[in-house]
Amino acid sequence: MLAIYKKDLRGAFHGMSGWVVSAFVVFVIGLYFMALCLSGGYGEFGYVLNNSMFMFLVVVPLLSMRSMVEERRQKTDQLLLTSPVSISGIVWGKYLALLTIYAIPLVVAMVCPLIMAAFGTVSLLRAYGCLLAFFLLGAATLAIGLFMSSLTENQIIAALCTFGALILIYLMPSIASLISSTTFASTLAFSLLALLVCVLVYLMTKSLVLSTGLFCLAELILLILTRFTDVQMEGSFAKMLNTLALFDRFSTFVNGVFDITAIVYYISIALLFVFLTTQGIEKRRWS
Amino acid sequence: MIQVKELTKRYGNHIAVDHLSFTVEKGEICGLLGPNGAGKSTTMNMMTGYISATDGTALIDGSDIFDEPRAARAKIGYLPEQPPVYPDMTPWEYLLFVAQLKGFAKPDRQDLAKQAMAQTGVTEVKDRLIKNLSKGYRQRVGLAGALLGGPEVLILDEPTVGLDPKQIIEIRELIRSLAKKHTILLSSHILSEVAAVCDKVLILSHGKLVACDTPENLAQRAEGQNVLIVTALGDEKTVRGVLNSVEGARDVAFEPCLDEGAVTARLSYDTGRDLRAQISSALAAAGCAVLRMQNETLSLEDVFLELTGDRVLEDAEVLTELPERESSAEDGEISAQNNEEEEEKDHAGDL
Repeated sequence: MLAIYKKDLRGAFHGMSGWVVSAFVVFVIGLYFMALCLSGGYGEFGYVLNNSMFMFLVVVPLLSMRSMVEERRQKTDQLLLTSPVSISGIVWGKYLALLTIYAIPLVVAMVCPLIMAAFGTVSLLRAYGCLLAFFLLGAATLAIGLFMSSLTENQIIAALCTFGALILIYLMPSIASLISSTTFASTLAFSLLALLVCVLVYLMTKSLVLSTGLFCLAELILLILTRFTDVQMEGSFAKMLNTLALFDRFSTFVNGVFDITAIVYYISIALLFVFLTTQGIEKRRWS
Repeated sequence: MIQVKELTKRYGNHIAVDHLSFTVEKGEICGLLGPNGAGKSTTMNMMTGYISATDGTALIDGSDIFDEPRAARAKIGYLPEQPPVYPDMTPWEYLLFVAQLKGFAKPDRQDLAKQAMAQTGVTEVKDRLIKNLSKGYRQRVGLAGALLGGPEVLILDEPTVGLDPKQIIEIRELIRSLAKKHTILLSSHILSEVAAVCDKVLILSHGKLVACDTPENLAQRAEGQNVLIVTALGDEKTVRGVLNSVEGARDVAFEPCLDEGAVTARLSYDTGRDLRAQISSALAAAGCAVLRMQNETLSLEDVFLELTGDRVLEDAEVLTELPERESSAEDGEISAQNNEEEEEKDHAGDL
């Protein structure tokens, strides 16, 4: 694991990618820091991070697209997978390397609250709490990127898939607000979601019985919930989307609340996708 | 040392490797031979745990590659078809990385890397980026990575592809010298190579093992039937009559003949006898002047073609028509490889 971690880290800073990504993150955070805190006079570092959140859409695909794809393209995955290192060791090595590259500019950003503190009273605890949440948010999105990178054999496709997934998550609250909150609309939305999942299940397993069975089961549960129980369906789909949204949860930290559930959610997403990456590679070996 | 049991790989309806079983003893050099798409690389990928098997398993020094992958992989040095090198590293960095990947302690890594470089002769390019190295050097860096740390089993997939004749000899020498300490399984579609270095030859065809023997025994198998080609003036009927009357001559067949008024016959006879004198005097007695007579000894190549089910009369041209069952990425390389094969054959004489 350590060997792969070191190799990836050295590779990133041997070439351009590590430097470019670090510079970009520092630049964006620096820009908002100057505009909001230094010129605007806001004493809250969280706003800076909240505003620079969009950069994940650019940085994460760029950073993670090479990770797995490159190994497969150069056939060096044959070296890694036949060496006495487990698959989870390989994936963790790669993931930790990504995290480190992303953490370096954040370490630079840690100076910003101190600069503010020199000119007035600033809650350092709040600022660093926000920075920690920002780091974990990045960790979750990087895990998604790593997973996408393990699915394809093309960097561009990996980057586009990551970008697509992230923009969907980014816009999730807006999408949720578009959906009418009536019981009928929510039920329809849930049905469509069930259909989508079942189509995916069919594509993966090629079993018509399993996928239609799953769909019927999902519809039955929906029917029972809407007709025979007093579960509040009104606006429930929008609520679900809002709960799953990664980026929106950050605003609670900006408002000064250290939201443990959000922290747990970020870490869970990261662990889930690292796990899925491991399983994806394992599955590829068996196909 | 290596035990392969009923190894099978199925891709949908296509069976790439079909219940393959063989063993390689300690210190042996074993050659896996077969035309493109016979399943050589698939077999090796399964034996090293890179891909899974549909059925069966492989034991490396008693460790099952699927049940105890880490223990088994630690005993293997694997050089895949395309050397798994990082273009942005220098050979020195690459070998240090491989040493760390294989789990060697920090103080030993430099010595191991130096040793591997010296063995494969890449010391003079150790500080150049691998992407700037020639194919031959990349192959050697890959080989250095495989034998770094002295694993007990070396699995080499076409180790001499892309090397020039001088390098091929060097690599063969190296492989032979390594056999003292390691057990080696190498694959090739080049016969002369296998004949030159291997103690044992396994011939694969369409995923099945069709022969497993020493190169000498395989060659002897072919020597059982020597072939004589005779061109004589006259018509087919007379010549056939005469040839059939000669004792020991079998399987008389006629081939197209360029000479006017003459026919070319092809016949087999047992080894240890020479029918040339008898046949020429018999033909002369029947009034058919002998224009040409040529003795043709079947080579290892013919055995190979016969066993892999693509027996054709002439050997040299046939190599360009080897079966291409699997339309894999190799397809583009086929013509190039065939050229190499031809060079190989010329070169085999030197060895």
